[in-house]
Amino acid sequence: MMTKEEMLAGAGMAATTPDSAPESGQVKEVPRPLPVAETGNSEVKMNTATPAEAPVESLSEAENAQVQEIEKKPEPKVDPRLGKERATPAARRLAREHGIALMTVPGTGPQGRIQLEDVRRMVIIRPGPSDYCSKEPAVIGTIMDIIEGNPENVRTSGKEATAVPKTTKPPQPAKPEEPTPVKAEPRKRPFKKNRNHKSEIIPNPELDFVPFVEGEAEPLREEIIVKAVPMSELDKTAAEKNRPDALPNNADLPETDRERAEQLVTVSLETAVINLTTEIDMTEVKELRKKLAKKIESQAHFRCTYTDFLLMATARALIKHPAINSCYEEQQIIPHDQVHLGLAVEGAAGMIVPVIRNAQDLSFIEMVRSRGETLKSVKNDYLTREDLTGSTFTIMNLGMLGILEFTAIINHPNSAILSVGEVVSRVRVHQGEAVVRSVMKVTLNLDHRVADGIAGARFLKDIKEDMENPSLLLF
Amino acid sequence: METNEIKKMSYRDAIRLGLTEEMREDEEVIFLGEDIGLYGGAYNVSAGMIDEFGEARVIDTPISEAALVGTAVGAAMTGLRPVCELMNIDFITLGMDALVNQAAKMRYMFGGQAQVPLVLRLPAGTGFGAGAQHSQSLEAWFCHVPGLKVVTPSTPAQAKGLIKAAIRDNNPVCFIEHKALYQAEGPVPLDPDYLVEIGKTVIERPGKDVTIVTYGTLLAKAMEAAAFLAEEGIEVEIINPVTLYPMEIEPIVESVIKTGRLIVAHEAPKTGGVGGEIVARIAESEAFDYLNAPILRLGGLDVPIPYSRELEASVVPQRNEFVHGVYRLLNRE
Amino acid sequence: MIELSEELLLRMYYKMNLARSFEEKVEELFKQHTVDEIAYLSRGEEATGVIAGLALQKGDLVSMTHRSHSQAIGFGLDVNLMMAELLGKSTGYCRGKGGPLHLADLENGNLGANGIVGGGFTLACGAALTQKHKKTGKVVLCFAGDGATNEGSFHEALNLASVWKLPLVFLIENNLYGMSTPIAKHMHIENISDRSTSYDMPGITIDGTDFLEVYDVMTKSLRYARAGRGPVLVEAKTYRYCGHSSDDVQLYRSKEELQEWQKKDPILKLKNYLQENRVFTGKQMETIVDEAKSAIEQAVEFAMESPVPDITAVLEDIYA
Repeated sequence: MMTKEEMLAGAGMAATTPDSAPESGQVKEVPRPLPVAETGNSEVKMNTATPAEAPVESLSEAENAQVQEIEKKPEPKVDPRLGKERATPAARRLAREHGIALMTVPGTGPQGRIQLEDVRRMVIIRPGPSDYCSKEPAVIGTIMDIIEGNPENVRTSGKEATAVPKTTKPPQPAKPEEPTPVKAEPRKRPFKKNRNHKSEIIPNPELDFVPFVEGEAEPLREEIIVKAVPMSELDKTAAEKNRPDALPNNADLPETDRERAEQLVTVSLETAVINLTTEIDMTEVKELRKKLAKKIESQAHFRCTYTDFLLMATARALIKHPAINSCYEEQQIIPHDQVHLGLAVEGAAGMIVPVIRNAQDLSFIEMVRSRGETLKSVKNDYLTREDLTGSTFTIMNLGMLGILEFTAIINHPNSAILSVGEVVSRVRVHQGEAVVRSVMKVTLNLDHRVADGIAGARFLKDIKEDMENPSLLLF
Repeated sequence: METNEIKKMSYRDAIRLGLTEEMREDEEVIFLGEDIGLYGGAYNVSAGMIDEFGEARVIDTPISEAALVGTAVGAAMTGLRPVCELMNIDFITLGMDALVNQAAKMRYMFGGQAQVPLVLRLPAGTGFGAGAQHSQSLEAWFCHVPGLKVVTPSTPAQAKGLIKAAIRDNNPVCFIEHKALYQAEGPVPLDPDYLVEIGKTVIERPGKDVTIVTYGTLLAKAMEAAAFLAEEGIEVEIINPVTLYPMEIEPIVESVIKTGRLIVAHEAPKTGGVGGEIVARIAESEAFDYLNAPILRLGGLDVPIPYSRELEASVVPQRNEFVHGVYRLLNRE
Repeated sequence: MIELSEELLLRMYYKMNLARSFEEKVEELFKQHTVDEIAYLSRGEEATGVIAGLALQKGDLVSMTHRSHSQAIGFGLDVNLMMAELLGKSTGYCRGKGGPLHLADLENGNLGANGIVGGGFTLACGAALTQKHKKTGKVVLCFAGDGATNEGSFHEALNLASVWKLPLVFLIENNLYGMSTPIAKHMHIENISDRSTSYDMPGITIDGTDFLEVYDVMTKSLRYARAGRGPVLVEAKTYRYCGHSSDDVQLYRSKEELQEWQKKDPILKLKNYLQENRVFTGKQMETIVDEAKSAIEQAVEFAMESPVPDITAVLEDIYA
């Protein structure tokens, strides 16, 4: 810790302090090496002063403030982007006019930019009068979530469940130029018993989506359809323009059932699959998630699930083991630079595999958000062909249906698939004692042509270790 | 004589026609330049004019741009209405003092005493493999000098109307011609009083999805791109400022409010170009709240113009850049 | 020797004293900080400006340098309006927007003082072209300093004027210093008038402190140009007593040189001539000097009382 004098000299402050000039009325005993100093000439070059040798008396306030500035440690750099939404000015204006909080609007522009069309869509479908809470499934298919209190894997509104009528409400005039908002009215629906009083009453969450067409509206969630507008009247939004081949249902997939069946056979015949199973202790994940749930939800706007941890761990492990993140084609192993994780889920017409791109680059929050949005797209049925192709590795989870472990068929052209089982409570030996832990079995089904058992085992080991020390996955 | 006739002619011929008509109308209009007499002008714009008006009014000067521009300014101050042709806009550097320090400032610094009705014809642009010193577009320089007016015609009709308006204007006007457009043909009204108003922005093509502001050689490329995009159902609105300084910005503001997306394009280098000024004005205007995508500028690369034709073509924006720009703003790529 | 009428001599003496008083007054005002802007004073070289101006006919045009006060007074500009302009008042020639560097009276043919050294050459060519085109029979007088003759525009203008036979007379006030550089260091020739031969036009060197010589040569040159025989280059050797500008401390020349030239003071020469030839009595000459001084005092009063320009003037007169 330098003395004030040293700091002043070092910072060149001596030359600029008001005190240096004799006229300021303060007695300063700082010796000046130039002979002119004896005459008290204030115009002497002051940057040659060496105040370190002499006792400095009565520093002025200004000097004190300067000294304190130097003593203060430099503040850590804060990314100015944190906490801010990317949105176009037009979107902001519309949101302002309708009192829509931008953070509630999903952005379809580049880098998640919120565009006018996105806000327009929100004006039609708005959350209810309650505070906004994330409305996507908290967890994909693990028993733990059900126990946690989200039985239907759906959005929560954070409110007491109330009954709602089936039909849409007539619009009430509010703003002249935009579709008019509608007041929420209590629903009358059968109450599904569950332990989490915050849950919602949704009979068929996975297949829910909000229709755009009048007449078919089934407001199954506590959402308010502000004004159901027929497709033909809606302004063609950029999102629709952007996705010329937006799939209304997943039925237009290139593979017909027959093709798919044939491909399954081809994969089975061509690959040399080995199966490696390990058990992951999920207790740490469970506790970490409980601790951080609120914070993560506020930043990512989706609820954090176990799957997010698993996605992070898998992405990392794939980067460390590039052979597994590769594909075998024409007798060559072609490794991929990026990790695009396919997540096998149940869609409207059966199983589909949406892809989370560049998983290796995502931070935990981004992964939560990405996974949340992907699954929301599944629910609302606006996936495109691009969203369903291009994976380099797939994860499939049958735990929600009670499967403890299983073997999945590799999703061509991947070289491996991770089969995830149910998270169950079992007695295990933990730190020398028999305790109840939450455990989950995962099986790696790996094409031996790209990597052997040892490589696969190492890969699984990395995943297991990351999952059992989950705090590291948060960064 | 009023006439509603329209004739198809080239940009070059349109300029000559406009100039000739004004010289016939007003004895005080004189025409100065290098090799404009019997030679007919480096780009053949003044072919035949010396036969009609004689050496007293179509005056060949020595190769001294400083003297040429300075003399034109002095003559303008004292009662003539000179039209001054520089062989290439690049050579204005030799006459900058007379233009910037004298012509632009006279009226203001003399408290309104002076009037400088000068027209400076400045052929600009790439396309001929003429090299770095003969292919520039320097309009941005003049837009930065208060007291000047800067106009640029992009079609033959505009060429005729604007040269006449410039000659009739009592201020120093930089009339920027595009060499690559000299032989472009188009309909031109033959009415001798047909003028293109200085200070008026023109909407060349109405649309609703994206606004494109452009001028000069890029106008035709933008129109081609627009036709291409129209087949996909994308309607771009193309606006030509015509007068670069002082520019009428309101029609552009209104257009951006309508479409929410803006592309500004010019052949001149992007950095420090007129495009930046337009973009800034839009950002400062009411249109800001209606922007639905970042504003895109297309401009020449920040390089001197290379000689080889392929390289030269790659320096300036081409039609495909407009198309890709529109796609980008619509989030299609 | 030409005959000079009494009236002409009176005007010469009056105007030279007017110019001298003007410059002295401006220097005083500058020291008092009433005039803040830099002023370029011509004390010592009044003869060239004033006498040449007196040689002009009505309707002739003039293009002045930055050291324009004597030239302006010689041309006939009103000292009241000049002083007001120096003080930046709205009653000045340029409504306060030009300042001493841009005095002008275009209506009467004064193309203005030019802040760009060498900026006036080509403007004068243009003005001369107009006179030739419109056949007005007027001549343009272009003042310049020795330093300006090294600018490219000088040579371009001379070439053009010569080729087109413009009615134009160039008067170079060679005061032996281009700002602070002595002439030997910025040109190798002894007489600037030698340059005229490169452009095939007559070039004459005269003593710029001798009112008679100046008047004689200028009248003849103007006649030559007016007759359509082409441009003329006249070089007048003279000297300025003050620095280049009001904040020039003049380290570049010696006091002896100054004193040498002060002996050749043009006003002194005229005074002696008038006394020797008994054109005016001593009393009359004193009166003339006093009148000149009081005219300047009045001008200062006028300028001081004049209003400052309204702020809206900033946006006026950009375009016609």
